[in-house]
Amino acid sequence: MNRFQSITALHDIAAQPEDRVALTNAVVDDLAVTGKTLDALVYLDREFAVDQAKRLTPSDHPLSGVPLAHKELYGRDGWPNEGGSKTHQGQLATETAHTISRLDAHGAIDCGRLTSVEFALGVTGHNDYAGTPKNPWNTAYICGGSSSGSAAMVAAGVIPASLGSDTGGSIRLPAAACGLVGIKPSHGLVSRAGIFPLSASLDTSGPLTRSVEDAAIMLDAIAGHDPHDPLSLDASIGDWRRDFEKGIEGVRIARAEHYFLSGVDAPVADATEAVFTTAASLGATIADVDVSSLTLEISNTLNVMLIASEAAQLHLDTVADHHRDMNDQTVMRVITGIHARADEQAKLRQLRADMMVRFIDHVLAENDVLITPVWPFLLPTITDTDIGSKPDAAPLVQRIGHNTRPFNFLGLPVVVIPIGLDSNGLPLSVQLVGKPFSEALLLRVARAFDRAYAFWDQRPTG
Amino acid sequence: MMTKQPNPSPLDRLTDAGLDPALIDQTRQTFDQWRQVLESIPDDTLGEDSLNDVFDQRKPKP
Repeated sequence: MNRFQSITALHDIAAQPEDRVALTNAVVDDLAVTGKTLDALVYLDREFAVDQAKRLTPSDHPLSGVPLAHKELYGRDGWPNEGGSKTHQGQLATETAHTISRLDAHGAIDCGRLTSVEFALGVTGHNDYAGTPKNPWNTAYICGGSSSGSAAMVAAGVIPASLGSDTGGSIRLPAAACGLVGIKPSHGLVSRAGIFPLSASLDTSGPLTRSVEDAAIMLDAIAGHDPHDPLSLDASIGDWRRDFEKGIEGVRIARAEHYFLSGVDAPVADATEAVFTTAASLGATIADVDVSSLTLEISNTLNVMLIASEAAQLHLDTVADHHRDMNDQTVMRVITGIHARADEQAKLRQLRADMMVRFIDHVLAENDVLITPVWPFLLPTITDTDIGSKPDAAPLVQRIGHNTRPFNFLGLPVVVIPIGLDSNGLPLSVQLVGKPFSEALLLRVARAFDRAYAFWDQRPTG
Repeated sequence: MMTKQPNPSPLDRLTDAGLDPALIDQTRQTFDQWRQVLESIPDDTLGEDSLNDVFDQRKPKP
């Protein structure tokens, strides 16, 4: 049994060719069974994965020989790439995503693809066509979306890491719902080339893992310039190992009552407050910041607008021609975007830089990290959130992304870290927000919480 | 002489495709609420730089 192993432990197990092939077969077997049970599996390619394992020239890189699977949106030439939608049933990728090629180059074994919400346009994880993944901590509950299959398979311990995508919270919400570490990287740090698109401006790519170290290994492997992504920048996360175990003594942490704490339910706010106490006990300094002048409510709305308007540009013809094959909520959200005018879309894009600079000046000029909740309320069930395109769907979508969307609009890096379990036995989490390209510092802070909360030792029982 | 037909607007495209007018109207109402938020921001707050420019300026030096 290779469940709940770290990337480095699996790397060691896979050192010899016969062990590497056996490990790959075992993970594929587990993906087939557990992936089906949790409605998280879209595609498996045992032949490809085993062939990759056999042909691998092993290296010291921790990912060498480690079996993984990723969100269905990540293209591999010749593999299904349906965008989680019946409208693209049978569509095969014609290129391999840049991030997948980078993982290949580091020796990771690619076993298959995992469930995504249709067009990545959903925060609950519901998908009438591809399946609605069940949360391994309690299968009556949602995994969150849209990287729901990735979260389910990593939380179940089948694989140590999986790539997801985040346009309004689609890595962070599933990571938080399933007790995982999730990274939405800085704007421009990780290429989106070869990933089924939702929003050209806002899409980001990042990992979901069970430990901070595994998240750092994955991000380090996929970050870097790619000329095929027009928004890619020539940047890296630097030497994340250098200060990784240094703790958080002297780190300046910001606490924002307005919007982030006052805007969530009491159990979530209380759990987050306890994190500030823990951080102070570990030697960090906590500073209250007033964000009431930063119009964060507006940035949430602006992000929803920009997603909808860019999704409408990409998917209008599909909705027109195939709306009867689509999830009601996807249709509703894409249609909402058609009402945007070109000048409004331009204004939305222009506002991002100004709002980001104001946020940095106000919150992070004298602080290193802002800590906020992720979900605004305790995790809901699959049944309670199955509301399709009903009139209360749009407000619910907006509410769930209350704390995540502002940072997509601002482009800032965010790391999600689990901190415990709620009264229903479901994970509770916080997000750490930093300055552009401060991922190494965020990972160091997250590592301190990783040790303090030891969430790694907790196992879902389903 | 043939006259080139203009491309239908997105709205016409969806209406012609049989989308439920009530759903289209519901989405218009939602977008109108969002539009009020966008219009509440004065145009003179817009800077010259894009988000990409600002991040490019702030990336770590090698």
